Amino acid sequence: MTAMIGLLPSESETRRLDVISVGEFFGEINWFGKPLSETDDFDSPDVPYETVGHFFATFPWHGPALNSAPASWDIAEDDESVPVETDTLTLEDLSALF
Amino acid sequence: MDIPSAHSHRLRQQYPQRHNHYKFSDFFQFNTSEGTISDWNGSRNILTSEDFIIGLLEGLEEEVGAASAAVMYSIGLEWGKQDSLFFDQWFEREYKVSPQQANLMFLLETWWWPFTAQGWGRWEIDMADRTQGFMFINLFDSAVARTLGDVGKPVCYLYAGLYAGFFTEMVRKQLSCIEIQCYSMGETYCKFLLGARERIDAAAFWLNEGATASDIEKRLRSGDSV
Repeated sequence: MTAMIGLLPSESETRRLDVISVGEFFGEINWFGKPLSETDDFDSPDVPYETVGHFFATFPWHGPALNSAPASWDIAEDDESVPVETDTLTLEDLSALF
Repeated sequence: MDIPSAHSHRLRQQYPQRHNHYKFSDFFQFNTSEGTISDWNGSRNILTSEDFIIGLLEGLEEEVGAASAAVMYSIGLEWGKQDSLFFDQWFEREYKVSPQQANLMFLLETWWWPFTAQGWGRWEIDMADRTQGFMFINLFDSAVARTLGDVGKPVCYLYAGLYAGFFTEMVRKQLSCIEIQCYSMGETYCKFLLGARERIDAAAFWLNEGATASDIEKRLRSGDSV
């Protein structure tokens, strides 16, 4: 394990090669939602994303044409989540419906 | 899948509290000295080829003609009933809660995970219409349909029977199931309707008349009957 860590490029080497490591990639996300500075330039890779939601909102999920603009960065509803009323059902509840 | 094997799963004995055990190498245990395969729950498994599935279905059709669909459904029905009893045991053993008291969606997902691991496909339950007394099951990668390919008609009678048998036992009401959309009809996934027999009979009638899954859904939601 120690040997594997030793093989990882140092931070300076990574920057010199202009390759971003996974750690740096995730480090750009403002996981704790700290208030951002005055700049709102989310396109700049040097500016952390305000939330994880913002980060994923920059993905072209529906193709480049439908990519979300920063103004529409609302928290998206998860279509696959189970509705609350379904989530509390038991077999007995289901049985009563048939 | 067969009746529970006498073979106990070594990994399960080692990690009895483990629930994420559906990786191929974890879930199955190959008993090489006896040439058997058992799974995490002690059920006996066999590996089959697509040729086997084609041979089974085509051979049955040659023997009994159109009744092969009913035969496959009946096999599935009995399988579902037997499996519900087996599931009852291993679910309670693993989660220390009775299936009747467990969260429904968790329970159902837990039931289907072994099937997914065994190659029967992934599923999705649509309970939006449960208050009207029916529900849909979407099946992705049906082993039967993907083997037969686009033959222009539903082919997953075994699954329909399996769902009918399992839910009949679990909810303790006589339920039926019909496949209203199939990968073998050129669709991207299979869709099953589960409900009381009269409702399923109505859906079967509409399907024979050429209705699509969407048509059937609309008619059911509007309260239509034959």
